[in-house]
Amino acid sequence: MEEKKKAFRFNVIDVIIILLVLAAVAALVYFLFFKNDAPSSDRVYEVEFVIESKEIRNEFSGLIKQGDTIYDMNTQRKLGEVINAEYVDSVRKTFDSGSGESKESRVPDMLDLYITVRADDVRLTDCYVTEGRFKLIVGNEAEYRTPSFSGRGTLVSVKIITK
Amino acid sequence: MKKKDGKRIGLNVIDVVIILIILCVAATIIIRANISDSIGLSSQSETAEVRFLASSVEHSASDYFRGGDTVYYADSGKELGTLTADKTIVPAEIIKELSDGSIVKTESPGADLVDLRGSFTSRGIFAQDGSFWLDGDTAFVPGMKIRIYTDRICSEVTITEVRKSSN
Repeated sequence: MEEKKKAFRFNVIDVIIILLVLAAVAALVYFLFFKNDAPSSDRVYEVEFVIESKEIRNEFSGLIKQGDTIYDMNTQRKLGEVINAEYVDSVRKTFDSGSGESKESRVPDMLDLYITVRADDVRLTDCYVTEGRFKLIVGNEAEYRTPSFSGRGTLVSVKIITK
Repeated sequence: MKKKDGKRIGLNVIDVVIILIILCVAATIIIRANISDSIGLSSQSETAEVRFLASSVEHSASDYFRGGDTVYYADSGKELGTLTADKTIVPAEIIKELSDGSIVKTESPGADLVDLRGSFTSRGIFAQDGSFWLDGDTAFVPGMKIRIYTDRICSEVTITEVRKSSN
């Protein structure tokens, strides 16, 4: 005996559901892979910025070298190229309770690290941003890595090289 | 569209949703593969020795870092590798500010706190630039602070060195 199967047809509700799912997927793809903060121009800038990392252990001295590529640890996107890495004796602001004066004191066996980075694919949105959307603003915190070292620091200088 | 015997075939809503999900997964895989290519990951898995420093841990806790124990990465629960028996324990170094504003380095009194240096072996991939990647998606480089655990202990450690294992 043949059983006549009912043909499955689209109705209005099905169409609405499909459109909603398509819109959700399109929005997800856009925000994950294509969203840029609204650019004010298509111009590309070359920017030099300096990241300061305080109180690095002595044993990590010299691990970052000129020419290393430096990445944002959170997005794994490139921040730029290291053009200088300067290691200096670490100092900390302290207070002499006897004299009542503040002073700078050397922190034993620790280093402060200043990494100068050149980024050549910077765009201007509400501020200068790298290709990975890292904001080049003095005071911005950076979690970074190079092939040989990972650390945290603060942007202390941003200089526009070419406009 | 009709089959030869006249029966209609067609997609329903569930079919469409499933197809869209599969397309999204495929796109993610392709994009992920491109990222791996761009940082020069080889496809060959190798063994690395990852050396670490656990600072200012309780002296009694240091006994629970035991060679042969499996180590896991607390962020993801992924298995990192195996602790080696190589372990060095010294009184913890403490940085102290004095009343005159000077800063000195001293040791933990009574050795209640210790600095422990150890290592674990891990399988992963070395990129062309020398960086080591666990499963190809998490980079482990010196300076990183990570939280690890075994079935005996959990601790934050700082990675001090990563090198290819001779084993």
